[in-house]
Amino acid sequence: MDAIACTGLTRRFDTFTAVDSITLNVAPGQFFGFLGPNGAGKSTTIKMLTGLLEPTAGKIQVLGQDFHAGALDLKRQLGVVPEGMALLGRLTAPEYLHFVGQMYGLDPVTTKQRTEELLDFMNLANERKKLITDFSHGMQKKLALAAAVIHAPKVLFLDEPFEGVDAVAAGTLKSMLQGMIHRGATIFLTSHVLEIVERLCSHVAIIHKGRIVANDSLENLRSGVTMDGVSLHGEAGTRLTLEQIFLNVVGADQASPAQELSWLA
Amino acid sequence: MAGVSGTGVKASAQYRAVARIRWQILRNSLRRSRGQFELVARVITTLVFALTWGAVSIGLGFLAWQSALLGHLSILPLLLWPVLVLWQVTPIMLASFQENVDLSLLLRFPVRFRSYVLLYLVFGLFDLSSLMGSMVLIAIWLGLVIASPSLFWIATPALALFGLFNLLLTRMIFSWIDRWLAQRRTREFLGILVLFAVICLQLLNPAVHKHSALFGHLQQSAVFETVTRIQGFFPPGLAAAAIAHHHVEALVSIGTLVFYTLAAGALLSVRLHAEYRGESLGEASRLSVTTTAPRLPPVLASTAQPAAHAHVLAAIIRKELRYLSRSGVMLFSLVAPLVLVFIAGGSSLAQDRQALKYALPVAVAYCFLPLTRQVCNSLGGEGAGIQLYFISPTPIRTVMLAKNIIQVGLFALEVGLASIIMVYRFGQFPFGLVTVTLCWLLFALPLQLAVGNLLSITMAYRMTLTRLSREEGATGNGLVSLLVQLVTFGIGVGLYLCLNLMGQVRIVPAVLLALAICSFIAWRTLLSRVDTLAMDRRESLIATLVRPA
Repeated sequence: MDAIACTGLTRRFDTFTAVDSITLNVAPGQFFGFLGPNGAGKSTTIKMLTGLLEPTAGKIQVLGQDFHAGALDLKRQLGVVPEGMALLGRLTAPEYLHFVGQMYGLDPVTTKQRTEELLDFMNLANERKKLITDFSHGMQKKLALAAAVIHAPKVLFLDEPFEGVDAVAAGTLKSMLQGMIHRGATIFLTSHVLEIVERLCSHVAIIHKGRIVANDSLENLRSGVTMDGVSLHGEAGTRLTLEQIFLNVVGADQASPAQELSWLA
Repeated sequence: MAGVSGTGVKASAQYRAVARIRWQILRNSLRRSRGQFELVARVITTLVFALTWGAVSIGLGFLAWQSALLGHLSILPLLLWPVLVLWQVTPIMLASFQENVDLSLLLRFPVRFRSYVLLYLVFGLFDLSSLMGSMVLIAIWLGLVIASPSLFWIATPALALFGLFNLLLTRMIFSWIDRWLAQRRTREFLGILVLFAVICLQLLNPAVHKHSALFGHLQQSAVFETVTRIQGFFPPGLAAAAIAHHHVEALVSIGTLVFYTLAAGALLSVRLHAEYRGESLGEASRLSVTTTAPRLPPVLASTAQPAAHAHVLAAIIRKELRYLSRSGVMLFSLVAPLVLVFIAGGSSLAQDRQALKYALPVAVAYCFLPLTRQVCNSLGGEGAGIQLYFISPTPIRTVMLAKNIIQVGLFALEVGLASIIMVYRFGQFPFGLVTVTLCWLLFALPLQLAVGNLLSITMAYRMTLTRLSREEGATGNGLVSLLVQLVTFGIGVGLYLCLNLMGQVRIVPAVLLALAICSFIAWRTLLSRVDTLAMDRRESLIATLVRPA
């Protein structure tokens, strides 16, 4: 049984197809990186997988059950950090975590205890009285991640969790996510920071123009796997970095002729 | 920097850019049916106000014409004071549903302070209150000049200056209210100030009525003379004096009016300068210390259990109360109408026996107004937090139910306070009228909540909880919600009047109770379908509420 499985997942906005019949399988306990250039369809896919967006076509299964926006029991097993972070700006961090805990059905005592642990862990304990709206972007990201894990989800969806997060905080988040993987959780992550994906993820899929153009274990991708006729091989005998893989797969028609902006100093 | 002149960015180019972007925003908004509806709503609102103010303009213009013709220019203050009051009160009335542009967004660009001020004032010129106020002043000016062309040279600058003063005063009041409502300490100070003003007005009222017997011979009355003298020191009196008097007196009045205008401008400038410098109106301290070393990840125990309904409801209610207590704007909108009820209770209009008879139902119906935004745009303040409701296992039904509970509580509080004010002012009301009012409430409240839940999902707009500014979508939502309130009130009034005419006034409560059962069923039915409705609309809801400013 896959932790996440989608078949023929499609989303159209009028005549524009943002996600075009993609099929993905993420095994339990996998740290899955979902990459792609801007506008490739990453966020649209993660929104469909978390119930924030209705697919035009296709089927989604999470933890072996059909997933749709009304699948409340299934949602209890999921943690999500969506694109907009889903924070309530006029609450303080403890108030927000307490609120989220209760929304996920945790009893007040457990919620309180986990709130304290998470605030401590995320280095937010000194910011107890500050409204979330006054937090820096990085602090908001940490809080959003804390809220996504307070109910100990089995599957975690993270949309750009490291965007705007400093190196120290990124280290904290990475260690937490790795800890979750060791405990058997599944993580589905989108990121532009290829180094982070390379270090954390065991499997990677690359989406380009709404279609999956690479999807395998990082190890296989590094050693050179052909997909849709695109060779991922680098120099003979060398192992590719994720950046090289990414550029090989999506770079061909992304690269524009070398130009200079004459008006820049 | 290539392409940028040595003296910096040209202000005129920036003005053109702002005008162009406003036009493009309007044009793009028309691509969606919601945007088209919004435009229609705005046109209707403008027409309603234009008709009302048009009638006022004709009336005051005619009075000005007569006063100039008969040489009774001393009545001019009586024409100019209502202009000032309407000009200043209209924006507060419109604030609950009209879109206002938050110009502080421009500060990220290299905009000069004077350009920022100018843009702020230009946007103010297009406010309904400014347009309508100007219309009345033009009517008064026309009345004066047609009757006595020689007044042209003094009426033109005096009324233009008076208009400018009003424009600056409105913008100044708004900017300072925004400032005061943003922080707890100043919010409390403003609250005390308002309370003090209300008490003063209440003390003033009996004093005026006590001396009302003297008003038969107004010219001889010392009170009237004092009031006339005092009002002469204020802008409407000064503008009138400038027109009515000649030479030195007129110049002194114009000079003093210039002083008032400059003072309003200076106070506005102080506020705008603080905004321009990048002042943050947040309540949190600027310093944040993060010294604690990260520890190991918390041990997260088993997955959450099905949410206990009561716990979730309590959590949402607690969150709503926290939001309310931290939003000066929301608190202001709750308190301001009560203040008006308090003031109206002491007005001379309230001495009318017929008006007195229906004071209670009118006050109770009026209590729906302050809750319009909370009820009809209950998701508007969530911002990005709206996503939480869609990713969490809590049904939207529970969220809306919790919000409805809060709304009923707030409404009960408003009605309770308004009733106390009414009873304090007028004594006990007839039992029959109280019963009818209560039965009407039982009908109106569930209906308002049902419509509110529907509008909150289908016509949501983003609310800024710390400023009086409103975003796109506010006009359409506001107009529909006001229309529903009018219809609900109309049903009650119509029913009462019809059955009263038929001599069947006793059955009014029974009919209203039957309607109340229908509206309760409507509320229940809608609440049970709110999840489907919200899921169908989630994309546009998220897009509307989460989008960056």
